Amino acid sequence: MKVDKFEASDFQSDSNDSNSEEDILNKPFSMKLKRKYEDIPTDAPKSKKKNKNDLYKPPTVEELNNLRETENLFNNNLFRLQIDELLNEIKIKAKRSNNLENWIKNFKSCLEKLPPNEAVLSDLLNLKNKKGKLLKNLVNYKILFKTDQDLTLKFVKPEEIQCFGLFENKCLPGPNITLNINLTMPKSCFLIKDYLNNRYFVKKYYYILYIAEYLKKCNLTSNLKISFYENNHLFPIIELIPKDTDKTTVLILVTPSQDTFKPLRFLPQQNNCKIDLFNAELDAEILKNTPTIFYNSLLAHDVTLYSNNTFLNKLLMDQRNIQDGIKLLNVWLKQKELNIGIGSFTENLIIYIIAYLLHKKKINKFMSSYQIVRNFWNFLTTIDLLNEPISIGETTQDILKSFKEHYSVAILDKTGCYNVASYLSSEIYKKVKLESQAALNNLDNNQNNSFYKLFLSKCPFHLQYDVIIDLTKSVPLETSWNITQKEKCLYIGYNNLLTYDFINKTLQNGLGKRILNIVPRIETEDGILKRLLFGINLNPDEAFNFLEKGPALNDFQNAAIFRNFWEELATDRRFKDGSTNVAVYFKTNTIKSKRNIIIRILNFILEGKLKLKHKIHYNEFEDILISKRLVPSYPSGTNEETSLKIILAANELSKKLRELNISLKITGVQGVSDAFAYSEVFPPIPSNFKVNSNTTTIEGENITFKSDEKLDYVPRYIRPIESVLHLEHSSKWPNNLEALRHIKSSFYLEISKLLKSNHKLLTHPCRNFLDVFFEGIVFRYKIFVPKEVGLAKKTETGDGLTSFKESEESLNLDISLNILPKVMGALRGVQSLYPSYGPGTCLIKRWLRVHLIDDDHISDIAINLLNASLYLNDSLIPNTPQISFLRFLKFISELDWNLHLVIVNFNNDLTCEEISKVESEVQNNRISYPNLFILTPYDRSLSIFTRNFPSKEILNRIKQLALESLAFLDEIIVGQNNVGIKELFIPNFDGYNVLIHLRRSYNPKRYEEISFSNVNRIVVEKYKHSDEDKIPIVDFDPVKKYLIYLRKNYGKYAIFFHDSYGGNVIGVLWRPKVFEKSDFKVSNVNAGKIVGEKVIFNTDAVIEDFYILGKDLIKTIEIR
Amino acid sequence: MTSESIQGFKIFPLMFSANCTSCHNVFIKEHTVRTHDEQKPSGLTLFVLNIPPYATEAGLKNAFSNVGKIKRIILEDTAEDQRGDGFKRAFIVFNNRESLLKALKLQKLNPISSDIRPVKVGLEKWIEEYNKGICNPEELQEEINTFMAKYDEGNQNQKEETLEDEEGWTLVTKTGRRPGLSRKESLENKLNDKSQKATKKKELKNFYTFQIRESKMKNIVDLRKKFEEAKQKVQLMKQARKFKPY
Repeated sequence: MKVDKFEASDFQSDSNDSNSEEDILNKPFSMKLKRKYEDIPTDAPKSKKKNKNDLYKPPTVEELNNLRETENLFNNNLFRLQIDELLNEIKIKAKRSNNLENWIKNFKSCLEKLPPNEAVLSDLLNLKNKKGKLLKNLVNYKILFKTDQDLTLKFVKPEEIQCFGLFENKCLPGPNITLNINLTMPKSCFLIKDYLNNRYFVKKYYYILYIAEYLKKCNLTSNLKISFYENNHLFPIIELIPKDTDKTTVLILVTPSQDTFKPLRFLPQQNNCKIDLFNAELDAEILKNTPTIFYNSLLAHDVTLYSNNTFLNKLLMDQRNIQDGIKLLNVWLKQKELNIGIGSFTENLIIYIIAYLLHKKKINKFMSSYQIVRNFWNFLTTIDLLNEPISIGETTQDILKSFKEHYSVAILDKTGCYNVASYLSSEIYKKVKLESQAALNNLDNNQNNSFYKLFLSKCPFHLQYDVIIDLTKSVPLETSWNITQKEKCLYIGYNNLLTYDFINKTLQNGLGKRILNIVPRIETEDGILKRLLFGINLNPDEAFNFLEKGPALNDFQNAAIFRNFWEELATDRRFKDGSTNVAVYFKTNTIKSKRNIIIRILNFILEGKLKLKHKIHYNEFEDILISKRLVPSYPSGTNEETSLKIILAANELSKKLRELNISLKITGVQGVSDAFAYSEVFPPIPSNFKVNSNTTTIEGENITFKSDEKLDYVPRYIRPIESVLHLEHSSKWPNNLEALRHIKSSFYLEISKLLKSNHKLLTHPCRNFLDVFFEGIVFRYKIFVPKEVGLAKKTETGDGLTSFKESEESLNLDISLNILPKVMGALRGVQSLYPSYGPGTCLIKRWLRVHLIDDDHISDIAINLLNASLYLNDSLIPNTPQISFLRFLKFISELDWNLHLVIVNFNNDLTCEEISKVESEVQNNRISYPNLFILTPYDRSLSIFTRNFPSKEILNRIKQLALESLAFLDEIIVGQNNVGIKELFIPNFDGYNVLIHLRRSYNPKRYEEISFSNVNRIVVEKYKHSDEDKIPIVDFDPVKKYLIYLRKNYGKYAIFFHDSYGGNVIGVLWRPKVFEKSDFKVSNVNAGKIVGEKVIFNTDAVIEDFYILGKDLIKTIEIR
Repeated sequence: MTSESIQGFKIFPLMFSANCTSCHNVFIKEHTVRTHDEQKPSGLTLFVLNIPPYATEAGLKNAFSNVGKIKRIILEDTAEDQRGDGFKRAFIVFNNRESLLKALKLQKLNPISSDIRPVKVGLEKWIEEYNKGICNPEELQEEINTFMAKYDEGNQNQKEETLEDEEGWTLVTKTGRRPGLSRKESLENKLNDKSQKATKKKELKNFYTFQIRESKMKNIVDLRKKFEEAKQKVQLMKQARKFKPY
């Protein structure tokens, strides 16, 4: 778009002198001109025509600027409008801020009247002091700090009262308001050396308590308590709720007057605590010579707070866009839950970083809020704060260096003496950095719901990580690890941080390259540890390596360290390249057990080394995928091993097929079955098949049923593995559909003959397909001839004109033989890139099916695509099947299918323009498109796989189920509820009108039924080639046939629900319309009976029909 | 059981087999329409409504077995556009009028599935279907051969027809010295497009001032349209309460 090349004046000047006939005809806005002359009133009735004229009216300067701004300063229109909406939503109403301002006025005048007081610490604590009630009450509080002297405490009114923080700077996203107030203690309260040995903290603490007690009496607050600033247990503050306010909290901090202490005293290398006042059992000598970094930070914060606040306030005042940008960033941070607990990325950090960027002129006040946000992310992505300390104020390289040495992340404030990121955990920093990167990618992809993902979608902790370690059970931590005195001194006052760091380091040590990061989540309540969680993102390339290779044997020192760490797990090994190393070898025989290596390491570290009670959320769900009743003879975990076997066999067979010498050579074989993408929950286990003399017999090479024999049970279900064959190009295919199909059949016969003679394979050629029995698996092949689709479209109009029109038949043909193989190929690609995709999809299928939503409600391929969209669109790729499933739940629970298309852009084959074109087409005529629109590069933007299903009702149902499941999961992980995950997989039969119970023995999929207890296992014997092999009864599923029949014939009257993986109950729901009475008409008597003169639905007869149609299959029908 | 009637239709209960407990009601009337249809000769045809899905031709023959000889049965889906409705209507053509009259006077219908000629349903039916699906390669080959032989013969005949006829007219075909255009819709569209493109090419795009102005305006209109679309979408999201962050 080249909007910026011309000006609004172009149009205005033109419109004045346009008189020529031609001009009026051709000018798009001549209509408008005419109107002007004819003096048509502006409030003419709104019509389409007028709308059109609206589009063509000459633009105003303002509008042009606006349009241009959108292109330049914002991502796109939609993004801009959404930002506006969001900002509007989180705006704090003027009424509330006025209210609060009034309260502050009252608060200030109240503090003016603070009665001065003085007391000696020991007196105060010994209750000797009887001067006033205010002082007496101070004894009731917990003693937070010990100090070395008996201090004189002076309680006088604060020198200054300063509001600060997000709210004051108008950067706070509503609706919850948190107002920070900083009270300055006069210099007279302190002695020069009060920064030493907790003296300052004691004075401050009692000052706070005094004020708190005073405020309690002032009738200004409705709820007041002492709490801790940013979860820092040495940072007491007053937390109160002002009277007559809603969703408002006020935090009152106390700091010393500006010139009381020199900020330089608190540089990291200083020691300000010479005595072990925190009961940390420290060596006094070491302590004296060790810098007390966190202690210093705490003091530095207080000392610099006033000047920093003034600085920030001046910087951010009246900078509307910057304020908006900070608001957005806050929302973003909150949604990612990175601002929770100790060591988190606090809101203050955002302000300071923005201040830094402003200061460094990387952002300026002319930028839009979008650009501010973008620059912030960009900054975090490009800079490595772990190695590059930054400072807002002037400072020297030496100081920067010393900060870098002592803190993981250093962001210095205006004074250059305080590190605002002192307590930021390096792991959380890394995570924020990753998230920023992801956010940028998200913006660049420019998808229509990127805004939603960034700012509106909640991303709870347990959905962000592949592994969640919950150590809450072992809280309070009693640790006896060997941590050096030196470290303890460094961390003085913050022994807890040391512990978390130690756990983190040990975990890092054990997991090494297997992980990207371990993010702690440490929640406290009143300064006491409440929850301790770690979230781990795995590194997909290394995570499941069965070998942990240590240092070489001749590197004695390091080898010893390695052995020491891994204890009995470490062994000396010689490798193929001749090197000898210490190593840990994890024996695994399935992919599932490979994934389990992570658990083994974690258990080893947490149980063995750290002796911590723990709970790990990682792979519990994989249990659901294990085929328990029918087990292969080879080691197998989930479906992966069998899928692999099938793929290998398929490859071998397709090689054989391609080598065959037939009249048209086979040029390509494309897999269609889900098993190829590992997304088939129960792929067929290779096996030999024999005739059961009682019930089955042989016809040709197939096992068939004996016609007159009554069956005791039906044989287990054998899924054919389907593929599509491509033949050499030929122009000789007949022009007649019928003839072409016959030729196709003759190809099946030809291939079958050759396979038989060349490879001695069992085959079964049919009219429409060819079955080949190979390696214990039945492969089904169909030939794709493009001409067939064309011929199926061919119709002849009355005047002899041949036209090609899409019909249901031709479309189905095209889907199954042309589009589906392409999509499956792409899905195979997704699977090979992201190995968790297949089993993850299986979990989703199992979950949906068990809740009786079967293939007819939402097809397998649609589920495949939905899950693939998560892998292709999200920057956070799930590394385990479990997290893939959980993220899908979140995705589907939030999916607004009415507004958004699901885009599955394989290989980025679709361009942005194509996507937005389809999007606007769909939006403009939503009703005529499928409810759930999945856009892929292969299906001509028709959303072919969801064109008739799922219905709105089913989509809502799935959404509801997902929400419930997520809530349940939340209870398990966050609420530490001990209920098993199996509850997620138990269907609810309430609410169905009729339940059709099936006979289990006639359900060929009975082995797939979900079970949580021990069940009888049947082991499938290993496939051995034998001459007695026969093609088994394949793809025979009476339950499926029954359902198809019911849906075809009674779908208008009822909806049917069934668990396709071995479910023995069919749920029936009458459609509400059915029970309406209607007049007798030839067109609406179906399924009705006459009562009086009206037709009503013949429920009894229809239910009996169900029984008749499922003869033998049905045990009982339960009417509710 | 005496049968009732409504709007000229007689109501009969129709059971699947003798031991069923409930039944569907079928509505029966003589088929009378103004247009003549050879398949449904008037006077001999019975019009039956609300026939349950499992009723096959054989089943209906069972049901009317007491009446007389049936010439043919035509089963029709009620409405083609409605999915999932298996109830049908039928035209039963009798050999003579007496049978039809007798049918209208019936007291009750026989069950669809009788002991002598059972209608297979359920497991039995699916097993039979499966067994039928198993193909004998030789038979299949045979069938293909006969079909193709017939087809080729047909083609041969057509080719011979393409020669000059008695009056000297030559039929233009796709093959031959000067093949004519085949009459396909896509081809006609292509030709139309081509001619349109040709006329377009003659035009100069940015020669006159008004053209430049127009293209600028178009640009703005596009932007506005986009803006409107986005606005609409945001409005929809707003309605769905999408902007509550937490």
